[in-house]
Amino acid sequence: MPHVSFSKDYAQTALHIEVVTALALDNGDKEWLSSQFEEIVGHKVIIEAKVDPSIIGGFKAKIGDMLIDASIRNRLETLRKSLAELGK
Amino acid sequence: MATLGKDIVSAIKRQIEAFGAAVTVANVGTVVEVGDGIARVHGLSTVGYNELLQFPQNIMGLALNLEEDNVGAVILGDCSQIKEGDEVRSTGRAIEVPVGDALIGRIVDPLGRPRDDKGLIETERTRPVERVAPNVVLRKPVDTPVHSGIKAIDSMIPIGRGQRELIIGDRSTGKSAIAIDIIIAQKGGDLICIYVAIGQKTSKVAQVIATLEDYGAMEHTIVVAADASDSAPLQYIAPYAGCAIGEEFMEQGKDALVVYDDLYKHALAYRQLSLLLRRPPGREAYPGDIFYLHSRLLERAAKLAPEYGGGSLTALPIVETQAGDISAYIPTNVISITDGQIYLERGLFDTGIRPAINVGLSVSRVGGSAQNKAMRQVASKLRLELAQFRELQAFTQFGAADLDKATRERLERGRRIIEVLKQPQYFPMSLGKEVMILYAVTSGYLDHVPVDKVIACEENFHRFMQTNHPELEQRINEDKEIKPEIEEALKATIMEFKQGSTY
Repeated sequence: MPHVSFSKDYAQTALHIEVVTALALDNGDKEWLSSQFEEIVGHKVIIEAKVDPSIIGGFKAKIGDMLIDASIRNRLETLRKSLAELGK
Repeated sequence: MATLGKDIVSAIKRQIEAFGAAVTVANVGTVVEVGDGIARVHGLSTVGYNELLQFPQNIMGLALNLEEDNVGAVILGDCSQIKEGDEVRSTGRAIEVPVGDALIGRIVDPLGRPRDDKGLIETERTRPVERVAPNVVLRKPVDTPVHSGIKAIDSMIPIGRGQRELIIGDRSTGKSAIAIDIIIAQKGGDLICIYVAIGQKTSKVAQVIATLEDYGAMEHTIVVAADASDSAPLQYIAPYAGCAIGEEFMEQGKDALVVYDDLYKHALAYRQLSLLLRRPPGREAYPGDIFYLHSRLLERAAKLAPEYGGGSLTALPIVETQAGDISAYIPTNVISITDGQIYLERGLFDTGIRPAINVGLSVSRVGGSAQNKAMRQVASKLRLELAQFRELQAFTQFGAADLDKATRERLERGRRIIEVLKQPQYFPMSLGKEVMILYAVTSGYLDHVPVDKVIACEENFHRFMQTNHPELEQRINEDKEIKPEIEEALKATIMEFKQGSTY
């Protein structure tokens, strides 16, 4: 995976993942998320949680320079664009 | 209208049903530096060269420098709205412009957005702005003329469809005027014209558009405008956008003509971009790929082989010289890429020879084979007479007192040819008219007319032909050659005109 930053916080190399949500995550959520991500990337991960109410709902996860955007805001934006295309 | 409404409702329903399904995965970066229309972006590791980037507030950018730890991008829009730390997404797309018949008669910017007040451009098709030129297999030699309507060009520097002919000269020597005259001459014809204004004064662009509208030439013309007030990135992509619009017509089997006015300003815009992107400066601070900048653009002009539709794209690049220096960097580059040049000279312009074409320095390397037979019949003699005249003129400058009769006659004829080649602006001529007057002057029928009366005499001649023998012009226009019987009729008519005229 390109542009990935590793750190030696853990006994083994870990991957930093920035997760943005509309509401703050509690520790249980974070653990669940990191276990899910660990399964996908096959690596230890560190979740850096951030709160941004403007995304409305869902989440955005940034791994290096790859962005997984599953926020409500992004979906609305996609819908707006496709509807605007129809109007043309 | 009702069905359209239903369509929209069902389409919106479909869209809303699909809502919620989308999770986008994008390659992103953050702006580390922004200014002068340039942004440096950290991240974006999988972005490609010339890929479109999405900045916040719906501003687009173009990735031009892919470096080890950052990406240099130019911003196609208002860069003052972009801040450091903003998120930039890659789109996986290249720049595209809308193309098709819907653009004809419109004024658009280099991204295909309308700049006139005629509303949205309704076209489905888009084309990438940058494209590799058609290869050898797809091409065919130039064989059909572009009728320019200018006597000097059609007779001595003929332009063929699919050719690249440079128009070069100092400022205000009539470069744009020639291009506009050629566009006006296509009225009612089958050639679609595209006028690309690059880095021009907005007032001048407005004036050009007004002229084209006045002469009814917007009906077959598209204007792509990137004014001096537009950002350098927009000026940089403008000619490629115009070319892409023309290529669409070429691939439909139609004929298109694109005027790039002018490539000197285009080179300046690209130099600005390159310097701001910190690419190493070369000669005159232009970047190393300044030749490729213009060669890849002009190579896209082509005449396609019949099995590929047989369409054509003719390019008329314009280059401004400084103080008549055609050996400067950009002019020599473009001269070497094009198939010939029309060289306009300040001195000629000032002595009243307009269009101020320097016939000695102007050439058309491939247009000769595209010339009509009718024009070839008169042009070969014209060229010879003019060449002899110039030689004699230089020779007799030191005293013309005791010249023999033949020399004097040759000089007199040359002077009249020069007069006949003068032509007012916005006054394109049909092939028939051009051929008839050139036939008259090269055959010596105007030798008795005083030099200063030749222009008036030509006007009378055309009027006489129009009223008394309009069929001659028509026949030449249709046959595209002077058949023996037409030549006889032409001779007789000219004699008739001579008897009736006062000179």
